[in-house]
Amino acid sequence: MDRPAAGVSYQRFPRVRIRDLKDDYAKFELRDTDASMANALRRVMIAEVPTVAIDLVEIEVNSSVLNDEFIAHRLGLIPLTSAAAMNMRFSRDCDACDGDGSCEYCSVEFHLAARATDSDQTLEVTSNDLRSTDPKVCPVDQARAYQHALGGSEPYDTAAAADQRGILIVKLRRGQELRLRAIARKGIGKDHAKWSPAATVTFMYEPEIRINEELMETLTLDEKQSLVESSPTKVFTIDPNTQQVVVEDAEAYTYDDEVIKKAEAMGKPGLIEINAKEDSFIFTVETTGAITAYELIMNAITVLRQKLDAVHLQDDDGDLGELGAHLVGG
Amino acid sequence: MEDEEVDGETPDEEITQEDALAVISAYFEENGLVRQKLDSFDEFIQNTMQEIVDESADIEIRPESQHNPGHQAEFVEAAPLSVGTRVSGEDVIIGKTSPIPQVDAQGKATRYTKRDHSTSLRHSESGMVYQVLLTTNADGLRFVKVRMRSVRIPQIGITPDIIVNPHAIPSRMTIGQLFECITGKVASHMGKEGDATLFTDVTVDNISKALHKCGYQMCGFETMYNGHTGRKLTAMIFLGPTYYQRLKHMVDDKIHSRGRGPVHADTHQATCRGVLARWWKGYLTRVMHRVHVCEKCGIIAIANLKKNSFECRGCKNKTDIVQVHIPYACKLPFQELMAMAIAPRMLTHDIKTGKDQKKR
Ligand SMILES: [Zn+2]
Ligand SMILES: [Zn+2]
Repeated sequence: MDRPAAGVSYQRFPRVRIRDLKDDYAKFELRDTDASMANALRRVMIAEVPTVAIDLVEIEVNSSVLNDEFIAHRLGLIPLTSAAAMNMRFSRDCDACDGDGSCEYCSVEFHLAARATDSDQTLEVTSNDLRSTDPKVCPVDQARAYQHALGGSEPYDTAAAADQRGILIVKLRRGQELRLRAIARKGIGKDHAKWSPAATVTFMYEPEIRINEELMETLTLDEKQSLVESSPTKVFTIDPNTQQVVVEDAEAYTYDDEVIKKAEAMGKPGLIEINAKEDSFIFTVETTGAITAYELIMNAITVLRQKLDAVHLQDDDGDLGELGAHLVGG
Repeated sequence: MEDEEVDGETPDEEITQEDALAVISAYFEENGLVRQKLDSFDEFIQNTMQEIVDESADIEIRPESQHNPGHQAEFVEAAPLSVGTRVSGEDVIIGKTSPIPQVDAQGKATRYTKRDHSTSLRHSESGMVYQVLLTTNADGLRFVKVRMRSVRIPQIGITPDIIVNPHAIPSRMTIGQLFECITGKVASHMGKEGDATLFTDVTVDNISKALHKCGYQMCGFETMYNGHTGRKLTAMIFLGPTYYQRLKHMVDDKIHSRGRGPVHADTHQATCRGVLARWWKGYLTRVMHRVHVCEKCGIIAIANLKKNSFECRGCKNKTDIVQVHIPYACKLPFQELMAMAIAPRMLTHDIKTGKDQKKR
């Protein structure tokens, strides 16, 4: 492959079109860029956008059936509202404390105390029992319930808000007790999945479907029908007026090759051609509730940019090593 | 020089086994799919040692207490090793020594007075002390039991949970598993029960059609993407739910479970069933086998010793047949080669002319 001379710009101007944006869900198109960019964005959203999660647990009393580590692990997985995480410090970089918590820049303290009294009822200890020392950081269900109680703007699904039991941590029997102090810290999904703000982030390559109309005309209506039905998803349909095979929903195509194989089996290779566009991606983003989908996307771009800046800085030092050789075409 | 240092510091991009484990553990931790494991270590202090136990209090339970949760205080009092102590690596769980006779057979004094008989954790394991029991049984033997708990991440992968090497299918002849897999895919999609046994009328064709109706490719193939680069894989992957049970023998348990015994020279891992395998190998090379070989083509011929008739089917040769003694370990691969349509020929002419007396 020929490398262009030094100084040639590779700059492209990606376009984004938002199709749907809810608080914890987003669907958007990303065009005029390539898979490396799209995938970098996807991976940063999953593994490198910071959130806050419980990381240190000091157990005072635990007479429940679950052992200490198990409870600590379950506490860690509770999503906490993390809008402030981008401006917090990683406790390992914090110079205001020695990383043991109780520091306003890098940690938030939680307390939990629950004891099943003498009633025969099983006590369910949930995320609602966690008491935060910082109102900005609390379990997402608590924040949701709070907003619900305020009666203000309802950002989340009403169905989800109606279910306000919180996330179950452990069930206590009569006489059992759980008392602990927990410290939540900033972190990223790369270190532990509990810090990942993404429930799912996927992208698909936009398919480009070409129908050879000339060849298609040689088919009978029955043949067309069986061709349309050979696709497991509803990609094609027959126009009731013109009786032509038309694309109904290109994005329903799962790259299963079924129609192509069918066309070949009918003795008409090249009847339908489907290619994945190299520069168009359709993203679906869903968050855990720790941050909104919008924040997730914007923070991911910020993080990605910071990483690129780090590369730029190295470039200024003239110490880019092998990468520099690639960049100048040497 | 500096460049070298920089290179040394950035092995991040290399994909190692460690990376794979990190991904896997994140996946399982995220889903709470961890397995609790309890290990029990127990040690009797035998009668013969009773006197030593009495004089020097040999039961020493380590390591030192680091973390002492408020509950289960009764165990803490019962033994010096406290419940909740984090133990790892080759930490001694139960310390025990036995005396070495002070004068050996030659009448010389030995250098050491005691031999270590401590029970320690396997070096790959770590966990917490769960229970400690220090007691005396009915016979008056002092008895220690330490239970250790650990949280272990199952050793399987991420999205998909398990990747099966396709070579596993023909050799194990578990073709039904593939059928079961796509039946499972249909059943889970429709929220119904399925029966993939051969006692029903259901055929692969039926299932394929049902799968197609669920919006999947007929044969259960799916397009997958490389999570590292985001690019589509060229091959489609057969994908579906499979019920499986944890193997009783897991690598983690096995690899260190045997302290001594035969080990592989280059890997230092235990040879698999070493002793038996070696015996069998020796047996095969020792045992001689008698075969009849066609002199013309050198291939093993048909021999009927009762009727005294010999025949090479290939050459239609019924006369020039010789009897040869070869090790069983030689005859076996010969026949395997023949099964693969490769002809191993035993050229007996030279030997015959040289020695002459191998003919029957
Ligand atoms: Zn701090
Ligand atoms: Zn022959």
